[in-house]
Amino acid sequence: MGRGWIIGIVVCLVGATAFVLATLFGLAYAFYVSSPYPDSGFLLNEISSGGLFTIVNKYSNAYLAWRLNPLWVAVWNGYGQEVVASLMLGFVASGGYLVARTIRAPQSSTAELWPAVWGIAGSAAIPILFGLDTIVIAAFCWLPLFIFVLLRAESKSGMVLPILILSTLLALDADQFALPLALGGVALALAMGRSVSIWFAVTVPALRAFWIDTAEFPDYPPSAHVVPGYNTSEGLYSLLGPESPIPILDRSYIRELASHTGMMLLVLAILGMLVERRLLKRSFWSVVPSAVLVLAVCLLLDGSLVPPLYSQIAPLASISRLLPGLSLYPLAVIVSVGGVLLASIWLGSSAPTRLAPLWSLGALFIIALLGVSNFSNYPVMTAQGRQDLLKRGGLAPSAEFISPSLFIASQQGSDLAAINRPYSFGSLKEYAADITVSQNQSLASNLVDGDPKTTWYPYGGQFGVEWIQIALPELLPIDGIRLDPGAYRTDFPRGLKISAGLSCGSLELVYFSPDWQGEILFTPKGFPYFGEQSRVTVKLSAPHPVRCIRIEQMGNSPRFNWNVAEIELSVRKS
Amino acid sequence: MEQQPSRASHIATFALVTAVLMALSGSFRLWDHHSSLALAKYGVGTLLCLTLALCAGFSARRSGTWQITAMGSAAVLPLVLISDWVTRPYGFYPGLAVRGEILLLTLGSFLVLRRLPHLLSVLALLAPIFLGWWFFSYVGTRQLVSDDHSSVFFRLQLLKDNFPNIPHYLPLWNGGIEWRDFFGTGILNLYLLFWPLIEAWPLEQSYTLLVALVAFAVLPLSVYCGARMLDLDRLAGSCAAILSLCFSLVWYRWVLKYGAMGFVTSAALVPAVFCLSARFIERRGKLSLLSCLTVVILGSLALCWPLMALFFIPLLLVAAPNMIQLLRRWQFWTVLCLLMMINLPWGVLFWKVSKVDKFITLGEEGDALSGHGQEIGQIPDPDQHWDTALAASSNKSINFKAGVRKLREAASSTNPLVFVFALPGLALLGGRRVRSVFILMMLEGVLLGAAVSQLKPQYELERMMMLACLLLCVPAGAAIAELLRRCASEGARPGERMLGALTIACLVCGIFVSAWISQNRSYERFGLNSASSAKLAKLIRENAATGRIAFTGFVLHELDGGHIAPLVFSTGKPLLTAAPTHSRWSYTELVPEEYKSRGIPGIEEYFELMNVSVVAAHEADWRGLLDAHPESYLPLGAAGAFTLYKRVRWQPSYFLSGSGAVLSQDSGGLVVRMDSAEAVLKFNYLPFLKSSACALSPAKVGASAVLIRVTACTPGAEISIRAGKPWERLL
Repeated sequence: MGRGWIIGIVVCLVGATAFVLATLFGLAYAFYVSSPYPDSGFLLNEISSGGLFTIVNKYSNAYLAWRLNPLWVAVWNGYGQEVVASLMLGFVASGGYLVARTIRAPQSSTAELWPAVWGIAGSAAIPILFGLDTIVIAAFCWLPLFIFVLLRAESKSGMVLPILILSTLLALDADQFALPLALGGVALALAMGRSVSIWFAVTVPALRAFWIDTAEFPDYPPSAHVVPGYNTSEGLYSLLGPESPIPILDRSYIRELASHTGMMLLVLAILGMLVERRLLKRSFWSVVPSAVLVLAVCLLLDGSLVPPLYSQIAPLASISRLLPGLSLYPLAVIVSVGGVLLASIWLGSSAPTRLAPLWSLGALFIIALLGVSNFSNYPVMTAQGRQDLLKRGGLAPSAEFISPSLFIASQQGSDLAAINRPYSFGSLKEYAADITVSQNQSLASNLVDGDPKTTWYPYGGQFGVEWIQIALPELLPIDGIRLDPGAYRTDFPRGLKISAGLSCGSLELVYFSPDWQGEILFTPKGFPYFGEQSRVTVKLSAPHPVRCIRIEQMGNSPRFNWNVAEIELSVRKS
Repeated sequence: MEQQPSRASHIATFALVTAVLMALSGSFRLWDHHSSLALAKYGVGTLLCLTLALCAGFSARRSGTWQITAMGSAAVLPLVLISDWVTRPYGFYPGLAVRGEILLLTLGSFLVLRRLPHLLSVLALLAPIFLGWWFFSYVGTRQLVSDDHSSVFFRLQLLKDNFPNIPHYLPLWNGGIEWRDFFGTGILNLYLLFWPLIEAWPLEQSYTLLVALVAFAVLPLSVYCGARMLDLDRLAGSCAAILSLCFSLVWYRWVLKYGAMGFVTSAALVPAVFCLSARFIERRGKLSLLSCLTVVILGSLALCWPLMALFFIPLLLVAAPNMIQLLRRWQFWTVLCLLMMINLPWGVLFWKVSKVDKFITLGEEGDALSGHGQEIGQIPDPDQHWDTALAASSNKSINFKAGVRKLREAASSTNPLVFVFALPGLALLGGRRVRSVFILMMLEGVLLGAAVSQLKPQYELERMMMLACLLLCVPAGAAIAELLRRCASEGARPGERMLGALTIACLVCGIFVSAWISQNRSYERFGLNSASSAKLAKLIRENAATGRIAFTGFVLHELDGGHIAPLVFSTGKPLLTAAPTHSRWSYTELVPEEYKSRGIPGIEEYFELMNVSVVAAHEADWRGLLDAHPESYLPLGAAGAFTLYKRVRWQPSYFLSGSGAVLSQDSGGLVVRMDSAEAVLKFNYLPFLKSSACALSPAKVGASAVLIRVTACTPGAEISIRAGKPWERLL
């Protein structure tokens, strides 16, 4: 038996081991996070016979239709989604191992383990950092193997069929991400000096871009919104393919994620370049660390370090608009995962050097740090808090939540179901209430004069110190408050806090919204959405017996006043 | 060896093109149109650039290297991209974020610059398919109905049923009217161009495909052929064809939103006809027989929209000095004779039946047509009644400021590539006469669109500016190709390559933007048929019985944003409305004042006169009136904006006097069984009507209605009533 055969057998054994270990890790992770109900990074509807399901991501609020290849559908139906995701992670690990050892062949059998370890680490980093998200894992499960066959393409003419098979698998499972991922893989192979036919490698993924499934959106009215706007609506469109009728992605989460993972990848890339130059005596601009650097820069340009106005013309935002279907899911997540995988591949490929373990440990530390941050309330995963809220509210994943309304559902928790009912608002004038305000007391009578043209307003803008206090002459069961801004539709409160109690000396918090988005309304089928921000109506889930109400403006907006024309109360008499 | 243009030439071209753009732009602001940082204001920038252009031009001329260069023009592009040109409302680009896409595509183009000449030829083939794919991925199996699309569909269906017997009698609308707007709207060109497709498939399935074919296939093909006819190479033709697919937002407004398909088809054919005609003049008539026949066929199709003739005036002006030479050519006489043979008969008929002279003089003192000046019959004609509102909107003189504003609006919605590269492209066109034709055409477009349009608003001549821009795609394509060849060559400098990559990025990005527009995401939203129109048709089918359905007033865009005309086909029932197409410019009642003024009894009398079984109302006052009289009008249900009411006292009969039965009525006439020797039918009389057996004459009923009196019939006989043959009317 020749040396080549021995190496081949060793590679197969190590690759299989990496596959098994990564799969086992995936299963363990899935079981760890699946209590009391499947609690991965997404909620999803029942899978259809064609492998199609609608899915909403708990972190980014992305809502889209996703289709898996029939093989995965069979496994899914037989063993459940956790097994599918775990097996996919296994492919990521074994693929990562093969790519790493192809970039730089290990010098000894012991060194053969390093790429495998980093292959497993790279695949394990995905659920730890980004949740057990079917979209992310399915998008990446074939990519390392695809890159592997591209890298082998020059030396082996028999790679035509594997390239075709893997590009087809990529197209089937990565859906709209197949084309950008295939292009990325081809670019990597070309940069490494392989002569790959671009047309051949990307044709099937490119064709996939023309058949993107579209999720059915609830019939929100045009004025509805389900996530905060952040004043960046201009760049939120798609030039091609399906587009959500209203903005649905939680941009603050995406921008935070992009900036944090961007920083992490930037550090890894610079470390990698230094190692390549100083320790391995190669070019500073070697391919894989440079690719990680490019991805890091792209993420940083899309992140919170750049003002939203300018991040619209950053590469990730532009690619999202250019390629079909990419605007439906945050590309920052895909690029982050790609960067982490590339970094792990580079770490695996640099293992044979003497000092590589040191650098590997350093990188491991950074990844672990971010992993830990995922479980704490570190800002990277602010949406984790949303997930917890949903759980605390005792809300099981039902149809209303497998929709872009998930953001609102997770904010409101169990209160949401209780406020989907009619309220009867009446003028405060009926109750002869004693009203005191933070400023402009002389205008306080305008709040109850029944004339929408006359308003109360504090002086010069909103600074978070404005308040209105209402002392009622009798005990009333209040379950809603409306603060009509009259004709001044832009002068709504930017943040709102309402306290109520039996006396003005002992008030309890009944409502808090530091970022007022509008009244929560429901579509005819029960999907919640925010109405116009100028409709300042607060609905409480249950009536509070009160004699005193204090309404505080919490936001900051120096250019806009807080105008209130009339105060109305909803009194729920049983 | 070809002399390389000097740096002064590049600078002069840069300054000249910048001056043109600044003049077209008005305030040329940095970043976006809200920015307070104006790069040019009050013409200062334009003057400065012109001065620079003159200085550099003189310098280059003195050294003998003066040339308008594509590279100098391309250098303007970065300036355009950082200006507010890309962010203006109703501009071609979707907003400031598009700069990201252009930057990304520039990088991509830079990497494959050497292979771009080959790739662009492939792109020219793939771009129409790409656009068609995304258009149909949005539209699906729905039909375009917004604005005139529904009327165009209706006209095509009428042509399919009646051609060549046009104009004809249409009993399905308004109790029988003459339908003749095939000529004025130019729809014959679309019908003739796609005759096999229209005849082979049901029109409701093929209509949207026809629109897509014109927009995404006929236009680039015409531009490509036009460029090739001017002896430009394949790359130039490809660049021009790609540019034509993304040359203006206004083009897609006319194609997808307004649906003026006669004009659109004519415009799509114009580049080929125009360029071939320019070649004809350049070569003093020396053309092959095939080319002559092409001029005749395409020219005739283009002239189906009569106003297009105006666009050929520059050709006549340039040809005039060489007329004697042209007169000696057999080709000239062949083209002339064939053009006259094909176009004169329908032209004369059009002039005769459509009262073109009145339309032309509309707006002049004393010539405004009244909305109720019907000559025969009460029911209004589709073309005849131009409301006084339209006449009143015309000016007596040209306002310079308004003209400049129109010009700038048109420029804003145009792809800046057209303006940036048109100037060097004109220099690249072979032949002095060809250049002269293009320059005159450009000036004529501006003159008609910005100035004459103020005097004659009924022509909507603003679109002539769009047409001029479309034709400028040919020289612009030539300049882009020239630039690309230079950038892809070995000796190109990095800066030059970058400009080449940027130009191609803008070109490719334009295709993406066109796909974005065709997926109904731009400001120019188009309408597709919806469930509510199907519901309305179903309600009518189920409740109309043998009577007519009366829509109480003018229906403009209440039916899915389109006109009501094709409802007769989807319901199969005869209908009444103030006007089935957009021939009114203000609300008009269906029921004449003489009846309406008498309240419900008068209205009932009118409905009985017109054999109305169901009334449909979308106006609040009409709905209120009908709701208030449940003894006469029973609500049947609502669909979209319309509420339908059944007439309780309806007496089903199409015979005002005499007896018999209407056996059938279709888009070309009606068949009646006469049970008496004489009868008055509840159909409008028109003088050109012919009967297969009996004698027809007018029967005046009331103050305005003139119905068909049938006499000298054999009881029990079936007679058909149709319009006489068109040549009979012509002669």
